[in-house]
Amino acid sequence: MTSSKFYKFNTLSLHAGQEADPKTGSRAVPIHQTTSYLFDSTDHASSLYNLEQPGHIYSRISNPTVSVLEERMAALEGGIGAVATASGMAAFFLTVATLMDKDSHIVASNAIYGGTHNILSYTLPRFGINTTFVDPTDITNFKNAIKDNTKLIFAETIGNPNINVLDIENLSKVANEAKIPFMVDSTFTTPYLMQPLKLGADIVMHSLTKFIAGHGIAIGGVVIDSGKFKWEETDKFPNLTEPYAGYDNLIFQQEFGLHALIMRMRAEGMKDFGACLSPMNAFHILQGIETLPVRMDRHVKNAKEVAQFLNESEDVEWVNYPGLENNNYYKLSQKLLPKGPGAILSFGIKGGKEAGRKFIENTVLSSHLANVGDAKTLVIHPASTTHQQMTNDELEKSGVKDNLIRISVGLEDISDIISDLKKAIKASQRV
Amino acid sequence: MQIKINNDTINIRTGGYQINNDNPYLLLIHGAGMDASVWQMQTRYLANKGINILAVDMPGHGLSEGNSLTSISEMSEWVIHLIDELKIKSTSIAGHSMGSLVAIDICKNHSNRINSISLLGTASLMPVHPDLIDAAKNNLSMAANLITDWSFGTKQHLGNHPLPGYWMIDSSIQLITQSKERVLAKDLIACNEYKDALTVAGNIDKKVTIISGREDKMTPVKKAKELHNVINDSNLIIIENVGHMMMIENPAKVTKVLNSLFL
Repeated sequence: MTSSKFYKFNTLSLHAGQEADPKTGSRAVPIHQTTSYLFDSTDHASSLYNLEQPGHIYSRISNPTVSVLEERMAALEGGIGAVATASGMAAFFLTVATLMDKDSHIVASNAIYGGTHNILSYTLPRFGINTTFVDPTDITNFKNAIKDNTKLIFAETIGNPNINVLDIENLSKVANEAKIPFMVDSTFTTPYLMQPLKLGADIVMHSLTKFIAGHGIAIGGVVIDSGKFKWEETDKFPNLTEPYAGYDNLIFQQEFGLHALIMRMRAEGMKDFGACLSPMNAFHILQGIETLPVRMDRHVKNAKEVAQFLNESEDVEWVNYPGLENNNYYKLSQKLLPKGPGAILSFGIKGGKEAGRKFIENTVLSSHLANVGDAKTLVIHPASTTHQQMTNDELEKSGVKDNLIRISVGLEDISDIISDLKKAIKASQRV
Repeated sequence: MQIKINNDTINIRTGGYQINNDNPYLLLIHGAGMDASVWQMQTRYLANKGINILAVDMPGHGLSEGNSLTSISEMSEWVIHLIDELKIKSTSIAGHSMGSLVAIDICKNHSNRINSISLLGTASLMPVHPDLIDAAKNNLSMAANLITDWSFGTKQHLGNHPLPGYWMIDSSIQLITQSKERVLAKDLIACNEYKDALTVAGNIDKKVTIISGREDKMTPVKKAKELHNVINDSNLIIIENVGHMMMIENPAKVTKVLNSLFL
């Protein structure tokens, strides 16, 4: 008996979700820059609106270019399907708003992107959805924070900005035992370095804006479902397991099985919330995905060298990068991220906040901006930017020290990156 | 909807519509290790056309309780029992793969309960390699991968599905992987051991529609033709560029064919 012969990662990153356009022969994914789609007949129109047949109605709900991206991301993550959104934050909100109503609770890692921390801390509570933040370095913290109305466990594969590697396998077990879906943000790792669904997560999301796209020219997000979570085994998710008046009392879980969440996200969330991805951005992001494997190898290679350089610098107090043997997450990253722990690292310069400010202001090649995962090297001071809305107490709990500098290591020649950092560090130490 | 049969809850997917006794029925039977969600791209359309859709999760499959059944004849008798419980005098029936054998076998003793038959991904015999049965028993993930690989056409391995964002390959793997313990193995053994298809098919006196995928490696077109050749009133429809999972690979075509049976 032969073994299965599925296309592998590099091939899928170039081809999944697309067949060369049969009418024009266009090899590249066409940009379907259209708002709407012709119906064949009134029957066809009605059947599309009523979720009877697959197809496109209006680009807020779905779009052929965006669909290629959705399928490609699902293929790369090993998920059953995906919904792309206007941004990573939109992907997060879409998931939360589809799964839960008021009087719901989330257990989230406290080492997450500042924007996600903000929506969980301030925005969602206005709608009756509250969050308990926990230190992800001890998985029992998640277990202990679970309440009767907990409907989601959320964390990032690699915490932001402390670069702590999440023990996904053990957290998955906690979520599984509690019958609570576990969503992980894999933006820092991409499916090339880690496939969280294969490690036990139920749902994975990305800010596509980062490494997935890689060029820093398009904002986008995506949610990918594994189809593993059994919604019917708990009464916590009536949006999926009980009749929905919006579609003649359709029960999504009963009719769409594994695809209940994805179908509900699109039929309700994309239609009602409207945070759709533009076809042009989907096209740009697809161009990035085509080179994801080769880019990530180079990102990781450069990041390891930058980490080593910083680790050996006398003017650097500490370096957070799981690829360093002295890092607390080295062993875990070797297990979960065998191709490398990504290309984002953080470090603290001697001299505190002021030295950090000087470092940032003296970089020339490295760009000071609020993004990660660009092909270009990026630097930022999180305490005064991405995480500024967190209180001092929250910053301390998240480990965001005031001298912390985050670097997203790019694809430039490594000698040029290190030269730039070396000059900026030297400048930061001048009195 | 859900009903109780032998104290087990049985899940029947209706396309989201209530049953209307004045309308014709179409009973849909899924294949080995799967459940009725494989018909999700047909059920709602057909139901809204006034057909009472009964896409049943066979015992032990999908959302249905109970032990899975161990032979095709046991399954066909159970389906008749289901029809009795639902107080349905007669129904059209469509079966996919293992379900197609069940549909054929029903005609052996209960032809009077059937209006028309649709056989999708069918064959005169469905021999299953012993290694696959062994994998289904001991390594479900491997079995799910193999079945999925063989079940989808070449193009489908790269997707491009008409339902936005739907990734066929891992959907299939996940559906099979989540089947209850030994259910896939029992189903495959039942398919392997059923040898009556040609004999029973030769005596079918109902209209039969056979839908076959040109690239089907599980139940190749030539094996579907063997059935077609012995059935008195049979129409063979071959769908190009699809494999064994034609209702997912080309949902519009399959929906159109099934709907045409009720026009």
